[in-house]
Amino acid sequence: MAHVIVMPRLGQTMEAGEIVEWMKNEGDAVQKGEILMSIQTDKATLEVEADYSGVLAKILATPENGEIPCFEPIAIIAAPGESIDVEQVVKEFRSKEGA
Amino acid sequence: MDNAMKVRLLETMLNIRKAELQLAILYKNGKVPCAAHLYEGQEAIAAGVCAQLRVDDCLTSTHRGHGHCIAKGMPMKEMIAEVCARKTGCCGGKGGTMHLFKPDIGVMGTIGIVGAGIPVATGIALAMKMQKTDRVAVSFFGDGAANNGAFHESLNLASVWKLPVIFVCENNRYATSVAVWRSTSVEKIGDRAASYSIPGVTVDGNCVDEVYAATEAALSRARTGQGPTLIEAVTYRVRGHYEGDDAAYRKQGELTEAREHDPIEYWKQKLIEDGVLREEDFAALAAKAEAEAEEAAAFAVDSPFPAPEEALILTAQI
Repeated sequence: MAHVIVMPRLGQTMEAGEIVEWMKNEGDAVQKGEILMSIQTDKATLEVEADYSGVLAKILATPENGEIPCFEPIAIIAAPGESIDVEQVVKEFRSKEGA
Repeated sequence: MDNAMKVRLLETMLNIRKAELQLAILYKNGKVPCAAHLYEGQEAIAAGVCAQLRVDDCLTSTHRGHGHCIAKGMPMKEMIAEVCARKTGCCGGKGGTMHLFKPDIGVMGTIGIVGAGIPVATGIALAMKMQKTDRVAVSFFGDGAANNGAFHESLNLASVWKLPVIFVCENNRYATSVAVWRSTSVEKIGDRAASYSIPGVTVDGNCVDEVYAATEAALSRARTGQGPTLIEAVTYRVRGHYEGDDAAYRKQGELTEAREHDPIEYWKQKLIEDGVLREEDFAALAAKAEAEAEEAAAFAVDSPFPAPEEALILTAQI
């Protein structure tokens, strides 16, 4: 099952963050708990762990995107071998989250 | 301690760890409306103390209180749903992380104000004594709270009145960002018991057997009218003060060192050495705890928020 990774909210005052670096490339295997990326919040640069195991199927945001609002999709983790329709996965996520 | 208890302590620690890691994910995804102060790395204290409490014993806890609730018997679903402000939480979604209550199992609040739970537990102990029961109250608090007046006043009165209360100071080395050595006059907070003529001990809070033994002695005193005990359990806060705190104030190398003395890893190794557990048994217990935590998180997220017309139910009417 494909999981959408969002710009995490890390701190009560954080409204947006920037991707500093992806530690994984598209197609790489990812283990839950592994460092997936680092982000810049309003207060600090933080390493963020993967919440799911699988394959980093799609990166939707990079450092070039600048500030991204919290809870905006930034990547998709899929099951190994799973083929996904990126637009469909993001659309379903948005309708589920009511955003 | 029999083998069943040894395994139970491990299960409790795993349940707390997996629930906290699940809350970290929920927080990142915006499902926790309040700040989240997680208990990872301190599980041996809640587990070692609460395993010996009866359902009619009471505890007060702190802003870092999810672990105490689980160890005292709160279902993971009720805890996580409450932290996510859902109707299915232990307080109907109106309390949140810093107001987790479940009086029928003796959880008398994860009180967010530093030190404020200590006199509450002391008062509960006074009630227990006046009612001539052998029930016991436990107050969990941190190293920061031990420098608060409420700590000193409570220890004094509890000693004078010989109250059935156990003061458990979880010294995780930081009061928010202030290191304990910067703010505390004694090397061992347990030594402060001497000022109030009560027994005080300092134990390794990451060794559940040490916590268990200290609690056993304190409970036997409390249940037999001999009064309070101060237990200092030395541990380390491996996460930031709150989720999103990069804890830049730590000394270099401190976190790595602390991670090597993980309470779950310590107890797992001990049980394997003693022949109580095999590696595959541990993996099965860990997987079970993780599955329960994931299920509890899904339950919380799928639960409704309390309805506006229910706003006055379960809330104080002044």
